[in-house]
Amino acid sequence: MNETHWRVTFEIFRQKTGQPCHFDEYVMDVDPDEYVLDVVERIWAYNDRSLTFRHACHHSTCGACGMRVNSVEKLSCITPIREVARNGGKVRVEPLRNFPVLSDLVVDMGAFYLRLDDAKFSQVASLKDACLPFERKQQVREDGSYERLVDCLECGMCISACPVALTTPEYLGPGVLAAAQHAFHQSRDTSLLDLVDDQDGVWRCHSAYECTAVCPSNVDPGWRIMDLRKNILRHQISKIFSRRGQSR
Amino acid sequence: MYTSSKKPQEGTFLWLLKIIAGLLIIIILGIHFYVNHLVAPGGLLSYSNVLAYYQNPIIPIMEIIFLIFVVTHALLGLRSIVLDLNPSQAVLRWINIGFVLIGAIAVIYGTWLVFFVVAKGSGA
Repeated sequence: MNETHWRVTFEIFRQKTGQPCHFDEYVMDVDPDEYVLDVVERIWAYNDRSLTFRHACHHSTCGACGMRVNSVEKLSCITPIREVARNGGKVRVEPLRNFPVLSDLVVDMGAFYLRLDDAKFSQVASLKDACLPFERKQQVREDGSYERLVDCLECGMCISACPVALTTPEYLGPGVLAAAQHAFHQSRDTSLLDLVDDQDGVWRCHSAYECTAVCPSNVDPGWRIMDLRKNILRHQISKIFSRRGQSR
Repeated sequence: MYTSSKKPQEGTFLWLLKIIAGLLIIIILGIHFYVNHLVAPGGLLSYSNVLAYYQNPIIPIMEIIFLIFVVTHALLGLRSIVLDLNPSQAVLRWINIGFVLIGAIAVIYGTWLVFFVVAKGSGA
């Protein structure tokens, strides 16, 4: 084996509906610069056609291939083997946490997507609103007419990494809260604040910032949750003063 | 569709209280260290130094306020961790009562202790 040819053991999580889970091991000859998803695909193609996993774009745009690689949430299509293993080592591949496992590495993200709809998640935004407020703005026309896809890939990795999401399925989770913050930032729709002002909303967060750490797209859900708290507080204080103003 | 549960476990007020208490702990702790180590002549090196230090009326008040903020912040933090265990409403009610009792006992005992030290006077 040389620097361009490694032998790595892949431990793949396996579970079919109603059956107990286990790990299957596959010893693979790999190029350390190829990506984890490439090897998972090869395992499917040449070793086990019953292995199921999600993938689409292969360049970190679709967010479909989010998995836990050696217990850390990664987009497997942009995670080089060299980054997670060494020659003769092991790579453990598991499905995302905090989602029901449908089959092997495929999880059910239906509830997450429905909650994104509730949070009025918009896939596109004007360039002005697409970035984080403290980021350098991209070329923006005076009228803000350019639009782009928002950063969130809906990969669900933030929810998988969140230690609080592990405690209850009721928790909206960082991805949904970040979407709500973004929608509120664009629309100033206070019904979004009512949606997240809940013990299973922004108040559940323990500020672990694991969501921000694993986000492959710089959405920074942790910051957005704190920003929502600030806006809820501001909204509630302004409601108190507007009530007093009306009663006079 | 997600519907807000509006359960009273956690909300703006308790969060704000925790944040304000945390901020005040930092401020009072800074004053506490500054006064103890830099303002008190030669520092508080002996028991009699401490007794004399407590004769200044500002000090016991500051220590009691410090105690209240520490207890409040600590118990609110502990409570938010307990909430992750998803207790039922009935259990949470008892937990809340328990936390209030623990907080009250800690503050009452600490306040008594401060006054006990003050009552000893400056001579030892």
